[in-house]
Amino acid sequence: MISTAEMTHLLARNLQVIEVQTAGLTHADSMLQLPFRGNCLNWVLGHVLVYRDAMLKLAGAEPLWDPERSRPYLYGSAAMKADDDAVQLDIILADLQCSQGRLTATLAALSEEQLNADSCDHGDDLRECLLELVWHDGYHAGQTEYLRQLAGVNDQVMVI
Amino acid sequence: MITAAEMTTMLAQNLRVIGLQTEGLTHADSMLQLPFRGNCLNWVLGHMLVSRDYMLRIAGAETLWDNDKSAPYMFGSEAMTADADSVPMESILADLQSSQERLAEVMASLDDETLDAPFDNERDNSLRKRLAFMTWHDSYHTGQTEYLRQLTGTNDKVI
Repeated sequence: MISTAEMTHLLARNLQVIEVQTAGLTHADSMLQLPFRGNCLNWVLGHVLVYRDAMLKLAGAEPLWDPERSRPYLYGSAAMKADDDAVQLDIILADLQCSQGRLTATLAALSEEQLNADSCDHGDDLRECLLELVWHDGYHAGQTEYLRQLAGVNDQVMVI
Repeated sequence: MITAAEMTTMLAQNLRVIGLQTEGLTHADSMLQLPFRGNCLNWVLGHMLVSRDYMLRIAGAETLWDNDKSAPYMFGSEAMTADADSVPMESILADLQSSQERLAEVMASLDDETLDAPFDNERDNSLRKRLAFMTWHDSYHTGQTEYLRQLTGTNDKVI
């Protein structure tokens, strides 16, 4: 079974991708809208933070954001527009760094018994729920590649 | 340590998402180009197949595509343009299904000794780590298909 160290390693890789894909971008860049249906970079990054908070809560730790701050970034929230009152890009990125540290410490403290206990409504154990959220984190990390290019940088910053 | 079953479960989840994100799309849709730098849907799907073939190869199994077919979809290949000689999307999707079955079977047959044997790679020093990295890579590109579906103008939400 996957260990919590392997999960935090995957999360760290996603964060590394996010840092590379947001290097040199401004908050305004993060609010640029795609010319077709799809969430902007700011929403994707805030959404990643909110679901890392969900991992923290599942694991028994304090989330970084309160419900009010999280709401615009939840699944199913209204599409975030360029002039919306969004969280500043640099704050989201700093909070993602904090979440990485907090998740590393929190997940490392979980016992095998805790990881194997039922955790979610659909009957998965805590390990399976956390792994699902790790998958979700990587899914959205891949989207930042296009959202960087939307800003017109026209570069290739990833080597995978 | 991450198990082969956990990896194939994640790969299956990615394939489910791809099935939803490509539903109703045509080969021509898959060749539509983004209005900024970025690979089209056809390239992303073919790249995933080629990367799954790499997983098959390092796990000791036969790949689905040969080198010629794979070349346009390798990392660092030329950007695939609308009139490029690409693999038809339905063929890629069928091959992704086959790759899922072949990977599930091959990976289930790997014992811990094989998975943890040294592996020559600058990033990952065991077969297990290399396969885990490639599983992550598969999920990374799966997320991109969400935008590439919308590029075709479907204006929907399928997952």
